[in-house]
Amino acid sequence: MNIQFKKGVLELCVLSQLSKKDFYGYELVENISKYVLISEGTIYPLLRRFRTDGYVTTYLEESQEGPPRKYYCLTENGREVLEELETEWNTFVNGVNHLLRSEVNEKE
Amino acid sequence: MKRNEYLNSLRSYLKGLPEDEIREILLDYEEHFAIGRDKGKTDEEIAVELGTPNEVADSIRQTLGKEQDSSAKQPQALGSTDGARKMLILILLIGLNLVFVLGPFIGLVGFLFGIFAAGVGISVGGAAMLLGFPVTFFIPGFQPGVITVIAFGIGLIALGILLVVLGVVLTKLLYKLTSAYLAWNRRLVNGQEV
Repeated sequence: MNIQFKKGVLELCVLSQLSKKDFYGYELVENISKYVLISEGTIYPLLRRFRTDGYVTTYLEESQEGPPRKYYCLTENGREVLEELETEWNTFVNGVNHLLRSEVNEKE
Repeated sequence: MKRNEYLNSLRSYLKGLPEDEIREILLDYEEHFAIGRDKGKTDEEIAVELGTPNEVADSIRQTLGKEQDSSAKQPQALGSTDGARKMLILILLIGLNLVFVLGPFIGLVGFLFGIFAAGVGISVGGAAMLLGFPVTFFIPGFQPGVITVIAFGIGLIALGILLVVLGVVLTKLLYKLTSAYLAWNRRLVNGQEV
């Protein structure tokens, strides 16, 4: 799949996950890669950018096992961006699906 | 690839970024490895899932590029601006170099060439004076003193050699300056800190 395209979709996936609850990096990566084929290492740079853009904030929390975990929390700003991206995505998918279906209809 | 190997490799690919930036980035991946190990994965498995250090470094650099764009308040102009910016700097540099740098540079090279030529010429002249001295006996009415001619000959040879040495020194200096200037141009185009 086109890399730029995949990146945009990945942004949407990450923001949408974070709108449901705060995640730490590993958990987020694990969750997304369960459904979408990605190089897991590319999520962290994305999260860094989200933080500098003010879409997320981070905080550290101790865990029972292992080192403290860095949690990511969606900001109001991030939520707005998510809504925009989601609308764009839905319009896009509907459009593509329409084209796919109409092509099938023509053949039939 | 083991954890340390992976992190070291990533660090080396990130060279050139600010040191505290690199430290923060590596912390994220250290945490990832630590939690992965807790969940019973081997370092190798984690490394494969992350993607190669090279890939990761690439996407970090791209992301940092975007950060700079957004700080310049041009959020629409993603991705392509880096290439466009490079191209613009390249064109400006070529213009600058053609108009302001190339002329003086050629002048300097000519000047150096002149020094060498003068040095060689004067030396040869001095040598000719020494060797040609006996000839003067056969020219009527032209009888310079022996000492004067020998002193002049040696003096001219010495002066010529001195000029050649000066030329060598100046050439080395020009070479150093030129390579430093070219390196600066390269850094400018590649967009690193100048």
